[in-house]
Amino acid sequence: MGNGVHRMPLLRLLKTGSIGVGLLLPSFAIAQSTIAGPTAYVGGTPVMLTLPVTASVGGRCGFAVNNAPSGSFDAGLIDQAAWSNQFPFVLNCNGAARVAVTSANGGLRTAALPSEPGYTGLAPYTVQLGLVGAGGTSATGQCEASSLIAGASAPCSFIGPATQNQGLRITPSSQNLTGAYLQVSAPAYSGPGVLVQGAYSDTLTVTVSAAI
Amino acid sequence: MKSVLSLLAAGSALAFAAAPAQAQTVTTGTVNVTGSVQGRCSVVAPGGAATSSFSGTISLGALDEADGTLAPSLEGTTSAASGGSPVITRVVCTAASVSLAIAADTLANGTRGTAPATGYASEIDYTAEMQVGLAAGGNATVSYNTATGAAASNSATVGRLATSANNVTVRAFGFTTRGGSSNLLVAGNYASTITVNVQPAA
Repeated sequence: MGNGVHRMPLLRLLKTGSIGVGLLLPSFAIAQSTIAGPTAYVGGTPVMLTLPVTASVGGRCGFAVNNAPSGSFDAGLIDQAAWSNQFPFVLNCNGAARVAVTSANGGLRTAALPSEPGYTGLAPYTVQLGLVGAGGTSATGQCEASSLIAGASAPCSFIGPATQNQGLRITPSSQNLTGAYLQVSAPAYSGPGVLVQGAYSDTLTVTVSAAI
Repeated sequence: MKSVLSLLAAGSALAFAAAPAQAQTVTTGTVNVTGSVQGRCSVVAPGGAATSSFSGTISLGALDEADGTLAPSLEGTTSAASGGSPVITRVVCTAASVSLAIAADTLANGTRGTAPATGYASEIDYTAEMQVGLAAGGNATVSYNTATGAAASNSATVGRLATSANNVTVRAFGFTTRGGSSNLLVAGNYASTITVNVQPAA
């Protein structure tokens, strides 16, 4: 306890800037270095302090501003003609990312499903997801909308919501690259069952997450 | 006390500066897909493409018996035991409510409405009937008797049609000689047309 440094008030040390940085920086260091801190002189006795300094760049992942998948598409008479549409989007992820899709109805659905045998109010369609990554990488996946509804018995590999482990993965990063898309398509419905007269709809929710 | 306050202020500033930079991004996108199915009825034979019409022939064979009058086998026909072989097909309707209509003209040899010599007949009246299977079970029928001479077709509105094969049957029965059953049928070929219509109810 005869060492003058040990008697130095903590506040004084902090006011010098000697240790404040180390205490306040984030603990989830990705890059780190070790420096020799400034010499503190108290009572003429030099003391060397070794202070770890850490820093990181936080994972950033989302859709680029104004470039999230959005909009509506009218497939027309779904029992008369094939249909297809692409919804482009742009990712802004500075690391690996995963994109996932959820279907609200599991297909194009009428407001009221028919009860009579042989009739249906749910029309299947296909959802295709295409991603592009830095360095020319790409990833694609395709599933039936029926496998994208929550609780599906045989869920699609990229059913949402996206998490670090769930969704179609693109590496090493995808920052403001064009070419990613969500495509929906179907041939003219031909059965089984007869589609009942009415309006059909579905909503797809696309989510993105940084991937491990 | 003053020092402590200064320290906290400085610490807050450092902590804020050290936080990872956040760009403006969103993590959810939503798209809507819509479509529609019109109310329609189509003729769809098993394994075949949808068409808008169908046709067929009910072949009655010889109409007369030995004495020249209409054969009793035709006079005694009923819906359950009709003349000739019915025309059967499959009609698919998307609508919940379906309108049926049927009309026919007499089975005639030559120009209709032209009476042959007394004691003879060249027209035969009968009942044309369309029977449809219903998705809810059972059948519904609509018929037209040529003896009434009605200009308009007879119609009925029913529920969803059964989607099974052969859900529509068109038949002819209850034949009677125009002018009386004792009239002799004029020799020749007799023909008639039954017109049926199946469409979504308005």
